[in-house]
Amino acid sequence: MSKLLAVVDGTIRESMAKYTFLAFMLMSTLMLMLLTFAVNLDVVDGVLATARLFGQDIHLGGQSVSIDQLVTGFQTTVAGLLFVVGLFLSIFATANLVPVMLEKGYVDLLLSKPLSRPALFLGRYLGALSVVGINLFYLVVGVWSVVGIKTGVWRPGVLKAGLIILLTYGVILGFMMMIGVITRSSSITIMLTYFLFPVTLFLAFREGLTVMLTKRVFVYLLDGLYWMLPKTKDVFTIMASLAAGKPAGSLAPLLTSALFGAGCLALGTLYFTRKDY
Amino acid sequence: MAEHTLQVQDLQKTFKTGWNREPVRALDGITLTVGRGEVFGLLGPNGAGKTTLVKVLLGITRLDTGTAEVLGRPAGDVETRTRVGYLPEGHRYPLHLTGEGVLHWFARLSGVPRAEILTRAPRLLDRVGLSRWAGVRLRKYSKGMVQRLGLAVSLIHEPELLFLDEPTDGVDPLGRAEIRRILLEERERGTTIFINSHLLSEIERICGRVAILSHGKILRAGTVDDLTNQGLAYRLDAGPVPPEVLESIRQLATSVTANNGSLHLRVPSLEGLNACLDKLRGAGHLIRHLSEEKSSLEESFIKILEGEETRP
Repeated sequence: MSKLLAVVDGTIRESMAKYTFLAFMLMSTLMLMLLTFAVNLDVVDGVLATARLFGQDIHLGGQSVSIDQLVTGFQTTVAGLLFVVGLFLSIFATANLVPVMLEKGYVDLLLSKPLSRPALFLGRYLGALSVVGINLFYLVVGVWSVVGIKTGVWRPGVLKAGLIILLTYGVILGFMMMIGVITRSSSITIMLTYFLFPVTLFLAFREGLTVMLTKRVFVYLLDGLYWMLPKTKDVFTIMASLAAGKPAGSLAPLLTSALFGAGCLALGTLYFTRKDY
Repeated sequence: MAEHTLQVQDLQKTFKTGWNREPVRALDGITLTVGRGEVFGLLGPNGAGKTTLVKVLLGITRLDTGTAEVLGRPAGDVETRTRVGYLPEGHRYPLHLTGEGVLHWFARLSGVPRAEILTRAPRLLDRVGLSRWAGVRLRKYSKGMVQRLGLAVSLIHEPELLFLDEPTDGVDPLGRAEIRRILLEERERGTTIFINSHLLSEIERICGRVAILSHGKILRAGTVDDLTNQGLAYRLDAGPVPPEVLESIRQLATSVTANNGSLHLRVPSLEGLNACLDKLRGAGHLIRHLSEEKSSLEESFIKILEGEETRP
């Protein structure tokens, strides 16, 4: 167990040494400082009376906004941005973790250690998941705390959304690790992972396309692909609902996406275990 | 307790390369044993299969047929690796870590308890001459420093068996001497050392036994003396020898050559050597110097490989 933790720890340190995560941490800190020190909210009877940024009034358009709506809206926006930007940055920053591990001279050293190959691969996975989790929850928990302290409204939506984003990253990471171990290339891993997003978006809107398909077999094919691949659009909807404090609805997209990630991770582990280096 | 540290029997490994999956026989029926506490050198030209053999023994590459045991367990056994150190050729360490950080991390991967790491790491860094560089990131290290750090990493868990693949590669003569000193210390400690190298002078100085590998096959194995011994060949210095004395010696020896006042003799037996000496002394020559002739390991290595090349 201590050796597995050493792999996790090593992966976290390796990732944290990258500028992408440092930049993400810096941006998160700036955003939290802005929220803490620059934004002033005056709340009267649960309704936002005035809002100021750096002492300047923000025009609310004459509408009365309840502080509850404001907090929920803000948290949903942060969660939505994190889903897109956070995932994009995380993929970019961790796509090379497996190809780097497989470089000649490094993989030999790692494989000569008293650690099974599945444990080594899993340790790498958990390390990458941890480093993204740390970055994600730094911002999510920070936003939740600052907004809660400033408004007195403590909505757990953004925290739940954070968990969904981490789970989505976990699914994508499983795919990246499988591609990484097979191709040993960071650039191919990044390209194929980014390519997965438009494909899954296209499949999410497959029902509108079925009328154009001439053969029934293509409909089944699209359906099959939809259920096999991660459902980023549907997962985004679940995440947004949770962030807004609404019920998530069916969790099937989430569970089948998780299954895809687990399957990719298992295939990647199997390939790594059987390969000669 | 296993009798041998390493025992390999009829080991075969074939790789498939290229788009057409062309088979390449990397190891072809390797059989060898390495005893406990022995320093064993594996020599061979590039592509002979030296690194593949070590990788098979460590489980980094799997064998096709044959058997291989390391410290009494099948090659690749995960738990056995706690007792094995490895310095691969062209090793790479995470560049964001310091020398001390690398040592700590690999010690943890080897299962060394934290308290032990804290005492062993500074001692080992001092031993390889990197104490002053302990807190410096690896990207500032020279190639020789990284090589010495690699040696420290391979020793941090105090292994019983040490695999070194080109340990002095890229190291200056001073650094090479340092590495040699450390390896001799390890030998004194009873560590079994298996060295892959094409720096034959290094091997000659450290190893007790060597094997020469070419095209995946062991061509010769034995002690360094076995490989460098030319049989009953001697060089003697007895001043200028007149032709008639030389002729009488030729009748007793297998071959005689005179060169700048020295005689190079090849004799069928020790008695033959003594008879030659008697002839010289009888003719009034004083023997000033007599030594057994040996070729260097490099010369023997080239001869053995050339023999392999010319074999039909």
